[in-house]
Amino acid sequence: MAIEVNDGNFEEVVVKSDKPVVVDFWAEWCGPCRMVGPIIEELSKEYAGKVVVTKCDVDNNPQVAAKFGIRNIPTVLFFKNGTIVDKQVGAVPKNNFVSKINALL
Amino acid sequence: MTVCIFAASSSRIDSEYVAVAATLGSLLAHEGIDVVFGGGGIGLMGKLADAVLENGGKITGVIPAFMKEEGWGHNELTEMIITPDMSERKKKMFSMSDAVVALPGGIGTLEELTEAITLKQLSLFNGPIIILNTNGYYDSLLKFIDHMISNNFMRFEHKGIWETANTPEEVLTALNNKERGNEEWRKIAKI
Repeated sequence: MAIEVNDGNFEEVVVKSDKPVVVDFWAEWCGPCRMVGPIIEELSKEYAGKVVVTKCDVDNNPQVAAKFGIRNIPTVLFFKNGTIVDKQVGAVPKNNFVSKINALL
Repeated sequence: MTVCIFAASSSRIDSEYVAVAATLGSLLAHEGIDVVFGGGGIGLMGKLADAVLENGGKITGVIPAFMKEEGWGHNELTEMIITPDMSERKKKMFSMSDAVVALPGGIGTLEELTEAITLKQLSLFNGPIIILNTNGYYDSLLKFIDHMISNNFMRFEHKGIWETANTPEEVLTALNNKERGNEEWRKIAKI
């Protein structure tokens, strides 16, 4: 299961992580997010122990969304050592996420 | 191509609406577009079905068992599919169709149209949705949707989910249009 991150735990779970972190910014009303959601869940299993895979509901966590300038969803950010190293906006096939994650390892 | 048509079952409506349903049925048949509809034998549904059949077209009805038992179904369709209930009926109709067209109708038609819009917003249905706005019948609904948007109950981008047509001919043009407008909302939603 992808870890739910929010305004409260973002710093701890994402920024301070010693492993690479993937954050899927999404919202319930967003159709395209529903295509990316299941991919993120699969990745959380496939990369368990190697990469921290998380998701962040932008409607409930406006601070994080604003901090990273999230204007469009789904947006997936890739963090390494607390900084953003890559980004994927929009509903795209799983391969796009896989290659970006593999580049973090 | 198979098009799902939602339309009134009432037969007490103005003859102009009836004529439009007949014209649409005839145009679809001549264009070789298959039709799926609620299977009704009267109202705009019945007239549409008659016109499709008279012009050599193919039309499949999807009707809940209780309606069939009440004798509400059209008797001469290419095929009639019986479903256990109303929900299964819609599910079946959506799964069989590449596009949805809503003619003027009552609360049942409104519910079917808004479900189509909801499903498409959630990427659970992906075809064109065309509202046949005969005589501006749907103007107040479209105005209410603008009210939803201006009060942030709905996203402005989601107005791209449906198209409106004023005549049956415009419905055909929309159905044949392969180049839809800005469909970016399908891949990305603005927040």
